[in-house]
Amino acid sequence: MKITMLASEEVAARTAAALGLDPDTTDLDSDEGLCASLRRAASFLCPATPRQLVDAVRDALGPLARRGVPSRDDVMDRLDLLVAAGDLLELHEDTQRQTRRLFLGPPSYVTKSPGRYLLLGVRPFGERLVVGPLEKDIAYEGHLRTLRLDAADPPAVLAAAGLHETTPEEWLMAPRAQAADELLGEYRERLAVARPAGQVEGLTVIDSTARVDFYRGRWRQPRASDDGDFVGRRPQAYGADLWCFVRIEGGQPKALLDLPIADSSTPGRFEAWRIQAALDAERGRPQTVRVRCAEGVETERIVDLFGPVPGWAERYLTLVGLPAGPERGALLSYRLPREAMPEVSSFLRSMLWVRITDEGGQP
Amino acid sequence: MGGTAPATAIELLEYLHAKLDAHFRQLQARRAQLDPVSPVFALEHDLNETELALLKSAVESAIQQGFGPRLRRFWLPFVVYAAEVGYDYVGDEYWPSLEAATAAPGWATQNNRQFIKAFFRRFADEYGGARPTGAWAEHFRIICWPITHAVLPTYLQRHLAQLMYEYRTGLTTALLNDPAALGVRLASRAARYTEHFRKFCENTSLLGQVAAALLAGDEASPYLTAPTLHRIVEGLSKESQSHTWLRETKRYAHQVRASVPQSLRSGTAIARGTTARLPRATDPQLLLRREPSRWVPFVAFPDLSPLSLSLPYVVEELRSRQALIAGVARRLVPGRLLDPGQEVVLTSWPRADQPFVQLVRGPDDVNRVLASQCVITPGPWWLFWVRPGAPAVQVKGLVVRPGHSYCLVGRTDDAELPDVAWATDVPIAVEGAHAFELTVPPTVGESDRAALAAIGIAVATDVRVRPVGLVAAAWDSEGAVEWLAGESATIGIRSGRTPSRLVVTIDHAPHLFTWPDHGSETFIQLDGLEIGGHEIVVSLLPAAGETPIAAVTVQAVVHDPQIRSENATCGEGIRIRTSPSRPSLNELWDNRAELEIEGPAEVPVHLSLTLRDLQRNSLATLRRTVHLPISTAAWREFARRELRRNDLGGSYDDAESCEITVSRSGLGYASLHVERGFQPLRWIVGRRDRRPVARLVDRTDSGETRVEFFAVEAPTTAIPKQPPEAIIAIPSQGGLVRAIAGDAVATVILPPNRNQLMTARPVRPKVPVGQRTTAEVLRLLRHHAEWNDAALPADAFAEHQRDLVVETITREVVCLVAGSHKWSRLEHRLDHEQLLDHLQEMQDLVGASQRERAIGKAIGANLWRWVARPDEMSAGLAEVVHPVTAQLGLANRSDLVPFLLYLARAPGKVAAWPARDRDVLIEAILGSPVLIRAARFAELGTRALMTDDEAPQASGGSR
Repeated sequence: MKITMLASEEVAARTAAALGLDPDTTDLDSDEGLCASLRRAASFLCPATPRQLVDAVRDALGPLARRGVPSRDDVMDRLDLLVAAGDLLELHEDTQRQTRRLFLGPPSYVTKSPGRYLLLGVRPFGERLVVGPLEKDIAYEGHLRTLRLDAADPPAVLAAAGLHETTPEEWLMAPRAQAADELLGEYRERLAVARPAGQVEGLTVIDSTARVDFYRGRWRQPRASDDGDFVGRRPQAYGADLWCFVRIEGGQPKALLDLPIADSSTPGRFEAWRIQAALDAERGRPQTVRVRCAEGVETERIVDLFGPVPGWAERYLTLVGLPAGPERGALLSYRLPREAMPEVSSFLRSMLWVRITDEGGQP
Repeated sequence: MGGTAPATAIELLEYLHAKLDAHFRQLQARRAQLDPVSPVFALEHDLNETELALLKSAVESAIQQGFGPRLRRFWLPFVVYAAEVGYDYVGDEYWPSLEAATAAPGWATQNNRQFIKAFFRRFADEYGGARPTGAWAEHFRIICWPITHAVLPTYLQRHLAQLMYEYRTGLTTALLNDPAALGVRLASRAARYTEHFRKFCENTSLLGQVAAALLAGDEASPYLTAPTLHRIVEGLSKESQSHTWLRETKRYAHQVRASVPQSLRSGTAIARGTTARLPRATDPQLLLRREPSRWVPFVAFPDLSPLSLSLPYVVEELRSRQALIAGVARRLVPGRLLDPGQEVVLTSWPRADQPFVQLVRGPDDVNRVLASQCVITPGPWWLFWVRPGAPAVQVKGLVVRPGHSYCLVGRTDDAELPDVAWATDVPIAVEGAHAFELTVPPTVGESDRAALAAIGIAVATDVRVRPVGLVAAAWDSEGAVEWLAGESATIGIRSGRTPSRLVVTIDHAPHLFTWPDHGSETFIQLDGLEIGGHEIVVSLLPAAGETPIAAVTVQAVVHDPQIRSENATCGEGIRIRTSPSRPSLNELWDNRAELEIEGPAEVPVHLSLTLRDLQRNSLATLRRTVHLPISTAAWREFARRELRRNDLGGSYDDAESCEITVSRSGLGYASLHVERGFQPLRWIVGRRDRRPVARLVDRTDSGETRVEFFAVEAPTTAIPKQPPEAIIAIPSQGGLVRAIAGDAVATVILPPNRNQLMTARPVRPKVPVGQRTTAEVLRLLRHHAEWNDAALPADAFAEHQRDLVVETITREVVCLVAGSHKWSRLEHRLDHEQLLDHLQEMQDLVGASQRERAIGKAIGANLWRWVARPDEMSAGLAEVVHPVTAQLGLANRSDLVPFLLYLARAPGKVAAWPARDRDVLIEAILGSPVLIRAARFAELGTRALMTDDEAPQASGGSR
């Protein structure tokens, strides 16, 4: 056995290398570093609550972080992105309890374009997703891993590496396009026959009257003046927060629908965020998507989102482009080819009823 | 044309024999210099392609010429030839393969087989040839020789590449230099592989030698000749996945050799003799889950397969026996403990004087291993760190940190509230324990420290030691960490005061460092920590004249590389669970194995089931979309409905394996591979010349195989087939046929002619019954087991005939034991009358005395409850018959009622119980027949009240 004293920089560099990252270019507290550590924690701890994974990563990286211990919210945001991409799954643990925990997404790939493959999933017990020569061709960009493969028969190479093919349609799992009022009508019909809500411990709701471009600022507790239908969330002593669609009268929850309803293999928040987009559209204040020019690259555009979007919408944007560091007040940003913009705009309008603006806020 | 005539077979044999003799003698001399001496394999003949072709032709013509004594004098070519046939062997019948290769049908007589065996023995004696070992070699006493000397038959090569790859991070230079130890390690990880490969792994020395040779790096291997090794590597490289596995494992082995010197593992182990027990990778983990008004304790089980290092067959026992967990009322189904991550809720707190895990009727040595290597901390206190949104994890070091919250659990007997103001009583959903919540203030006063110390709890100092960098496999926040073998482990050490020096003591070996000039935290990387438990003590030394700084102890476990099983781990979206673990094809087909598919509710998934032959060619595939989860009951129904359909069932008898895959893109992939298993004897039911026949596949070498037939009309009367026939014509009513060779037995139910069965008068099996003695009961039990456990072809009518026979034998067992003419008459009437019409009569016939009548009445009153809750029947019946069992002095025997219920429902099941227990219980029941009448009334009564959905579908008490 060999025992060595190391400086924190050396530990960080060795850790990054052990995670498959380039220690010269990637810090452990970068998006890529945090996501790699989250995947590793998940490989040992799943099924696990989000809190377990976040704490495990903060414990391990805290003493090494150059910019201080990453905040719980920061790490949780990265974890949500991994769930949205399909690296991790948020599932009902069993039918008896409401508990939702995180599970490992299956090792798979999606063809982004010929020769470029998005890698998805996490293997258990700390095993790397891909080993051998292929590993060096993985590019880590934000929470995503992309493999460039120049081979005669890529599906055979990827299958030999233990990766299952997922078609773009299977990966997106997008619901059908429909009008906002039609979607709300369906949920309200269910709400009308839902069980009485009773006392809902720790309920918080999204305020539909609050400005749509500051997501975190929209959350609050119900007020006595509240009457209407809200997207809400309530914490669990054990497991991920539960999302719901809740009818409130005089500040009191009257009826409540736990989400998800449409597909129990997706997180409830994906349905919740689409319902919220519909509620915002119904009030005539749809959510905003800003499109701007990418600095110095004429052929690309940056799409800024100011609120979270369902996983299938994130996957769609990921398939067309790449995540970019959010700027100028955006919650999420994507870098997309200019020629893809008409199709992207149409998708976002028809699925989430957004208003698309330019840098000056004009449609 | 003049010239020399080609050499005759005998001349060629003589020439080749001499050449091989010289080669093998040289090889023997080289292997003799190794420590320990390594054997020579016949496959290591190192003949070139032309020479090998010559050898094959010489041997083949010698065999065609009669294989006489003159030819047999030059025996080495025969040894090489037999090993070459073994190399291409795919697990089917060896001798037919050899006969086909030599174009000499019928050559492999018992006599000639014995010659081949004698050649190999001589090869072992004269040239240091390998001697087959392991259970497989004991069953297959002749073919084990050529198969062993084939080193690694081609069809097993992929498995070896995968096994080595999966274990790669566990490799050390010590293991790479010690084939015997390497073989033991690899074999301990082979539990999830095919049965053929597991049999190969039983010969751990051969396994280790082949693996060490394959990983030998650039240097020539001392364990296999270069051409042999090259041949195996080439075989592995034919398939891209195997090639990748081998390449990656070799790369890792190369790194291991080039990097870390080995620690003196045995030395440290000796030095540890006096220290407390170190944690083990197989210790379960206690956790608490917060529910709205209480804490719920549960236990999570790790991968228990490393136990096989202590006892090779422990995994086999875990696979097939129920497990008892201390503090858990219900037993775990067989095999469940082999799925790592199983969580089981505790209903009572485990007692200190009980082993935590035991197998029901498990061998003593297996239960001893479990008792010592699967252990929770002994208490009297268990401390759990509480944090929101996650289960509370046990802090085994009993250290609390200021500002944190904990739940403290103690046994009711000795758990008194710790004398601190911030401890409060909290409810816990478990018998025999109390729980207290400790909300530790930011500053802990001396009196509080003392109060905690009085119950063995310490307050953390301002020195903190924790794993950093790569997220550890597990960390309890205070003093217990788990790392993976092959990975660097790094600990961060933070101190409130700046020390002068730092001593890190690992397993009593101290290492001194100077504390860095700046900073309150430093980092220590540990490379090459060996698999197993370690104690790491970190001591900070103050500058001269300053007060001491506390030492902190961390208990570390380094895990074997863990392997994902194909049926998926508990952390994946779709999981297949079976009981027993890794069932056989027969068990799956006959619904004797339980299978469930776990996953998110109501999500549709693709299920495919493919039957394959020995060469893994697909014979038939069934594809369905099903909705998750699939419970064991739902699977049973699915299997009953689908498996015997013609398109699938028609291929069943030819199939050697079956692959079940459940998948949904983006959610998960789980599969299950089941095999018929390596059966020395096997019946295949099919047709020959348009007539139904059963064909015996005999892979034994005994030459003394006996074949017996049992008719449905007389199911306990054996009709010997003289001479033993390999092909049995199936009579119109079907029956059962049994082949026996030494310890090997194969039985199969023969399907009747369905047309005749439906038109002819129904057959009534006749079971002659003798004196009312234990021996006679046992005889009937064995007949029941024979019919009940016989392989069932994919034919619903065969199942019908089997059920008819086992029901008849069950009834005769009950009548014999019940010792009552009235009861017997009733049983025989029930054969053709409605059960439901006779419930009152059954109740009345349980017994005549007041006490016996009360028993009958109590059972009658409970029938509906037991129909709704069958799992309560055993305990309920025990209570009802308690007056009788107490009088017999058997009230404390927890196995009595299960035994009774088996006797009343599926008596063959108790035939395999430990003889002493079984015979004592039969004697007791013969002495108090009210017990069997009570059990039978409970069984038939509940059966009468069940709806079709609730009724057990398969015979043999599958309930």
